[in-house]
Amino acid sequence: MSEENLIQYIDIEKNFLGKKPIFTDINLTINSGEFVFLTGISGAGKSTMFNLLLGTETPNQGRVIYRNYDVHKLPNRKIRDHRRSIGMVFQDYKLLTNKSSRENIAIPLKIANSSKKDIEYKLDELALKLNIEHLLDQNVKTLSGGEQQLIAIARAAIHSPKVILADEPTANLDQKMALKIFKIFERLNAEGITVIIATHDIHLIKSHKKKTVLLKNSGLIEVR
Amino acid sequence: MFINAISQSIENIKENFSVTFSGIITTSVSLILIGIFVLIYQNIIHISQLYFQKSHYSVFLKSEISKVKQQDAIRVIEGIWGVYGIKTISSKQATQDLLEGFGEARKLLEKVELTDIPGIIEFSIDRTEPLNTKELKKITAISGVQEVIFGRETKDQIETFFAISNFIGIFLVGLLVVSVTFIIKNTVQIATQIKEKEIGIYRLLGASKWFIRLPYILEGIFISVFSYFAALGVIYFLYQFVIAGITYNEATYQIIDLTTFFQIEQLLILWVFLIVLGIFSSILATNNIIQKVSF
Repeated sequence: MSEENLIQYIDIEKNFLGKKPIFTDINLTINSGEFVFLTGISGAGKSTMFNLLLGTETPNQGRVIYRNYDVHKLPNRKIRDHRRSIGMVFQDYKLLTNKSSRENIAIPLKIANSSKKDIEYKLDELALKLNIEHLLDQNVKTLSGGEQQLIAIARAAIHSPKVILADEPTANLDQKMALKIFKIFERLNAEGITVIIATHDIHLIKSHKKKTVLLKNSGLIEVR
Repeated sequence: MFINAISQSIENIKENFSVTFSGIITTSVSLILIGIFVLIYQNIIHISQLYFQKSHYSVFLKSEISKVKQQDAIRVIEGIWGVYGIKTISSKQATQDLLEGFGEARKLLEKVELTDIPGIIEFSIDRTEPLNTKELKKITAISGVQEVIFGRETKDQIETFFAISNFIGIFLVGLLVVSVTFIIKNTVQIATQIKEKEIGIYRLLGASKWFIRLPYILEGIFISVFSYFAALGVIYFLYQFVIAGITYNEATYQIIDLTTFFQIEQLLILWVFLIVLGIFSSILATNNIIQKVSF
């Protein structure tokens, strides 16, 4: 498999503690540089697809291949490097509410042991690009939902990951903010980052002609 | 990573100051208890050792010793500084004493011929130091002297006393060391529980176990080192205060000087030991949270 096929879900089956499987026989390939909408009703398994790729959940059957390696066969010390190569925007943002936006965005670089100078440089550059300089020194708990989402995206993008996974990034946001957020993802995608957005926002999907994958009846349908 | 861990650790301490502070207080109290116990224990051992050693000596004589040699032995003993209460017990008297020691059972021994009971010269000394090797050799060099034994009648008691003291001492110090370990562990564990969500986010974003552990290990070291100095200070001033208030007599005169305990090498060893204890306790504490947030 070439680097072109960035992510491959192969014959995936997943169920939780003996319950009815949420997926059976899922096969999906996402190429490097693609922009993909992953959609489906609540509980269809959109977040689980991300968790399988992050390695926080394991499939009952099948393999998840990322950049030529099987995610679930990675030893513990490699799984952290794997996670560092992915930018994740969580549905609940998962920001550290006792810290400033600057500190939150810098976490992936700190984890990767980057120098202070490097962190400052990348932070300023990204803040300028995402137009969030005015938020940097504010404590995240003082920010609005949309602003917190911007910080979460900045944190996911700061270390120039190969792929950004965004779980319901426009949920609870007004139309204007949702569009702003989406444009940021488009810009990151234009820079070569693969973007996968899990969403059930039909309006967002319809108004943007991107590859769309629907999770339905424990299976997967590529609708566009 | 280390610099980041230091700043993270300082931040943690600032945020959970009351938890860290109470950890330091309880660890200090335990260390003070250990210190007080060691001081008392060492002094008791020291004083009793000297007391028992200097008290009574018995010079056992061979049965064939001549009157002249016996007088020589007494003269040598009299010449030793601090000797008093020299008493000669003849072989016959020693036998009599032995039989009396049996009480009612002595009748059983009346028909037994007790000829090998040696004569004894008993004496005491009144000085801070026991007999030295040179003085002991002087006595044993006299032909007819079999051996010199100090405080024979109390020897067994002393040995039992020291054995029990050692056992209790090791047990109590061990117990307090274990409690210090658990105090530091629990303090750090509370700190990790407060930060559980944060640690979980770090793990999700790819932080290694050591990236998460290091700030808490530094916190554990901080607690142990700070408590060490606090306890040291308290013990130092407390000991001086107690010493100043003591009325000196034969026993208390022997109280160990503070400098004996506060030697740099020993303090350094104790300091390193506590750092190791801090590291060990923190690793124990972080194991729980690491397992909990391992996805």
